[in-house]
Amino acid sequence: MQYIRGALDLEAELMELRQAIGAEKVSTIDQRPWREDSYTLHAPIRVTPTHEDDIVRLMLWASKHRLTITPQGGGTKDAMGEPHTPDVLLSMQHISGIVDYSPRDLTITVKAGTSIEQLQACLAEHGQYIPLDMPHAASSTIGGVFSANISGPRRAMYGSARDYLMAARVIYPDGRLLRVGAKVVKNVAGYDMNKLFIGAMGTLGVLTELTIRTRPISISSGMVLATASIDQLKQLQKLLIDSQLEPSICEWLYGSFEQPIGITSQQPTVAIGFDDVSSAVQYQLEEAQRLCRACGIAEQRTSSDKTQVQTLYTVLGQLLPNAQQLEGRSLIVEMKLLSSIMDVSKVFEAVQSLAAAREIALQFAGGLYTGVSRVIFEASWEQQTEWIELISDVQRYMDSIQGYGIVECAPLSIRQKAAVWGQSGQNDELMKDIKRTIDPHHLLNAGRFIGGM
Amino acid sequence: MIDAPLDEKRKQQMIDALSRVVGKKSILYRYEDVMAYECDGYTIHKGLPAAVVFPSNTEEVAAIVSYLHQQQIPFIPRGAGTGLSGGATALNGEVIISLVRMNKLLHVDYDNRRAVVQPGYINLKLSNSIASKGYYYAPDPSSQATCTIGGNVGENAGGAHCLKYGVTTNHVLGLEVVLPNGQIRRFGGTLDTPGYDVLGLLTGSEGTLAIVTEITVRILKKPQEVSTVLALFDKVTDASQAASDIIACGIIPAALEMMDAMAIHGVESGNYPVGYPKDLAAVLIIEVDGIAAGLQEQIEEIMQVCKNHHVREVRKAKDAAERARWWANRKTAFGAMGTISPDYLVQDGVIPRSKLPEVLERIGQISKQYGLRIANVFHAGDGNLHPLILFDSRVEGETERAVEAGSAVLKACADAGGSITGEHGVGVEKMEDMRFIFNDIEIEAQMQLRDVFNPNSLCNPHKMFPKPARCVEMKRLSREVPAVNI
Ligand SMILES: Cc1cc2nc3c(=O)[nH]c(=O)nc-3n(C[C@@H](O)[C@H](O)[C@H](O)COP(=O)(O)OP(=O)(O)OC[C@H]3O[C@@H](n4cnc5c(N)ncnc54)[C@H](O)[C@@H]3O)c2cc1C
Ligand SMILES: Cc1cc2nc3c(=O)[nH]c(=O)nc-3n(C[C@@H](O)[C@H](O)[C@H](O)COP(=O)(O)OP(=O)(O)OC[C@H]3O[C@@H](n4cnc5c(N)ncnc54)[C@H](O)[C@@H]3O)c2cc1C
Ligand SMILES: Cc1cc2nc3c(=O)[nH]c(=O)nc-3n(C[C@H](O)[C@H](O)[C@H](O)COP(=O)(O)OP(=O)(O)OC[C@H]3O[C@@H](n4cnc5c(N)ncnc54)[C@H](O)[C@@H]3O)c2cc1C
Repeated sequence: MQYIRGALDLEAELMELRQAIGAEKVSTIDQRPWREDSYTLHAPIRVTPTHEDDIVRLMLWASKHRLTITPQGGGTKDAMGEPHTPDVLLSMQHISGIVDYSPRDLTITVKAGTSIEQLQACLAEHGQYIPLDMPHAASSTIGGVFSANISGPRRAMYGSARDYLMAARVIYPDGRLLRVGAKVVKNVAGYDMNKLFIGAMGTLGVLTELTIRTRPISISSGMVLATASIDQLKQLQKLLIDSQLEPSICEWLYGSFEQPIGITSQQPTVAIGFDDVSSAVQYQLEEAQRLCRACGIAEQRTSSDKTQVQTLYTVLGQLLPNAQQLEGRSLIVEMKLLSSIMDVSKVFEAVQSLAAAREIALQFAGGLYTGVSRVIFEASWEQQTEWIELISDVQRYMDSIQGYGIVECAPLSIRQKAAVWGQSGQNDELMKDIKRTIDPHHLLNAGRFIGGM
Repeated sequence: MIDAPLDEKRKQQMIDALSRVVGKKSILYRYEDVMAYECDGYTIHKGLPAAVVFPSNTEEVAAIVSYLHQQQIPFIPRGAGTGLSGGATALNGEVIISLVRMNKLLHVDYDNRRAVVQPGYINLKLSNSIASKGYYYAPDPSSQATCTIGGNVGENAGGAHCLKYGVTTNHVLGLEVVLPNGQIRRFGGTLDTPGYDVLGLLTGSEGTLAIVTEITVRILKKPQEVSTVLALFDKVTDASQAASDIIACGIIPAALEMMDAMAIHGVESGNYPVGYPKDLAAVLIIEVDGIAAGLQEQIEEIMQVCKNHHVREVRKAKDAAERARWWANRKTAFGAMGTISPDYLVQDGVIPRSKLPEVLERIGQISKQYGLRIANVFHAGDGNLHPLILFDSRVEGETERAVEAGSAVLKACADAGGSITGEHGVGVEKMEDMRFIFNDIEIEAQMQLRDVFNPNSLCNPHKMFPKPARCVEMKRLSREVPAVNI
């Protein structure tokens, strides 16, 4: 497969663009072959703007010539969404840096291409952070994280991206630049436009600057890890939910990633973590141990070492595949499974039996306080047809419990055949109307989002 | 859309048609009956609705809306009418669809920490109904004994305890709505449902995108312990500096409220006096909650911060009864102003916390400039100010002056990098003030989005956006876009 339009077909248009933003920001690759096992995105034209203005000009140029654009942060989510073939890959990596940081107000304004690592390092100097547990911190960008609606295990206490974005600058496909939200923690002036761009996968506008709430790094952290049977875990989840404990993470883990933490059992493990002042962490660790024992869970490990706890977060983060690092490995598909919190155990049992029937290995992490689970299937490339069935069986199961199963990462060949966003829903038309209103010519991330938007 | 009061004949036809949907007893249209609906908690703008209908279920709402849509007659959803920006007021004889009879708690699912309510269900009733099992609903607007959860979704309401727990939007897990064309739709249900975050967009849309007919909210387990500190200050700047410092040192209190001398004078004349000394300049109420073992440490740190800022007296509530007294006093502050002034106008600007001292000073200047007393009682932790502008509407010109002073206050908030409203919404009151923070392009973008849901602006028309934005904008766009050189 080749590009629909190659760079050579677009020489005249490219000349115009080079003049508008500078030739050094525009590069081309022609006739790059597509590979079925690809997890990464390619386009004949790559634009690397250094200023917001460049993006406005790029948009006006693309609108005029009806060329499609896909913004890319670190590209770690390249393998997410329907397969699509943009004309232009818009790299956000040089739209980066801290614009304004007010530690006293617990707010920071950064450019969208700033890496998570740079952002967290800047916050750490003032004892603050953004508790979204973003993986691949060196390559992920803040714009990508909010566009893909990232959340990590600490969501149980701290919420997700939508709870953190206060304001943003966005460029619409027709070149309009708008500010949404306000740079204060509470704001209800006009519609809550911030929400529109979170999780929109860059289909509505290009985020160029984000103002985010920060949090103080907690004084102390601790974690209980316990291996248990499924019945024990179900019982434990009920006790926890009905308790006054305030875990910052409460995840149900299964699979080989447990080793670095020290538990190697093939049984699922529950990780219960706390962030607070040390006396409160200590109290909660003891309570969590007590609840585990009450459920007959014997094998436990407890750590109140902050570094060790941090390692676990990192391990959980790295669990999610990075599209940039998958080529040449066995076939990997990652799905995000959304359910009510008490259904997480059922979801686990269902995916486990569906995968076992096909001899496909899996890793699982399910949020016992959030209902957000992730499953990573891994097998050899030969089993491709079974994959499509597996994905649709998982989605059918999720549907039966009023949940959702979304393919977050899969190679092109799988994404071409599977319904990556799950079944179409009653609200698709309304979503399409939103898209049409903002991007009538479908220039941004064309075809990547739900319903082929 | 019919943008003028209906003539008698059409009005009668409409009343007949709607009566067939809800029954004759569930519709009001006589002057003396609809008078009670001439405004909400913002009393400066008033207008009579053509009728007020009271559906009792989603299907009836859909049938009412379908009929009005077909006839192109505009309508307004309304909860308890406690809104403070005129959002539920009929400006042009619209039909009010009151949700107060849809007032049931449909389902509580403790295992999944959620509850399903109808839109007319009263906020406080939810916490009361689940209290025996140790649960509560976190968003707690001061009006919680009266306001509806549907109205809370309409305004994205906040409250004293939203500093730590977030506002309404952080607690809404799912919505059922009737779109302005009469279709019934559901959004949310699980976290992160695929597609655009319509749930987030609907919350706080002030009844201009859809009518909410069912809400699934998150319920929380009550914290193990709550501890409250009262700090009395001789200088406003000391109090506001302390408020800012408490957050800056890494504590996120459940609530951090402040009142200045004028506000204290008001609450002490009201029904729940605490007995604050007469010569006090400001008081802070600081509440922390969570795991009991950790609270003492936080309380000590908070007290130390207050001492660093010359607090006159700082003490912890000795029991739940004392804490309840402090809160009753604070939460009835608006009403208590009635005892010291015939009228008041409450503003709702938000500023970065660190700008508290300078903005409060600016509000003091505005008070002098307009010759009106201003009491400040507000959510200091969020930087959400509630200046209460005291006036007497019987005095010629004073209402206008109060409105102007209010606008000046919002301008000061916008100039400090803030917002014109943190929880009360834009409604009718702040339509023009939207220009302090948004330009024409930004306002137009929001109106385009409204048109996706509510194309003829039948649902709550003429609210939220400044008047001529659209035509100005259209002209600008058509001039500007081709002119940009690429
Ligand atoms: C526990 C955990 C949970 C996670 N959950 C998720 C998850 O739920 N979903 C998920 O996708 N990832 C998840 N991640 C991975 C996440 O952190 C990715 O690394 C991050 O989303 C991608 O950043 P990026 O810059 O590489 O984005 P990219 O892959 O470059 O881009 C992601 C999307 O955003 C768009 N985009 C990028 N920048 C902009 C911009 N400035 N303006 C507009 N659009 C833009 C792109 O077009 C693309 O559609 C999770 C990680 C962890 C640890
Ligand atoms: C900025 C910020 C800071 C906060 N800080 C604190 C803090 O320090 N301490 C504290 O105790 N709280 C804190 N909270 C409140 C936090 O605990 C709330 O859970 C948060 O508002 C969650 O937002 P969310 O919508 O992203 O849900 P998520 O955080 O993603 O979901 C977590 C919660 O959702 C509920 N839930 C998830 N899935 C389902 C489902 N399928 N069905 C029913 N319920 C479900 C669970 O009750 C769970 O507690 C904070 C909130 C915010 C916004
Ligand atoms: C004394 C007092 C104290 C207050 N304190 C606070 C406070 O601390 N925090 C705070 O946030 N607010 C506060 N308010 C403001 C007000 O109580 C809130 O805005 C509340 O959410 C309004 O609820 P309601 O049921 O009265 O709604 P209404 O006033 O009837 O309506 C408010 C808006 O929501 C829309 N609406 C109502 N129901 C629906 C529905 N079912 N579907 C769609 N749209 C709907 C209406 O059209 C209107 O635009 C206070 C008000 C008073 C009078």
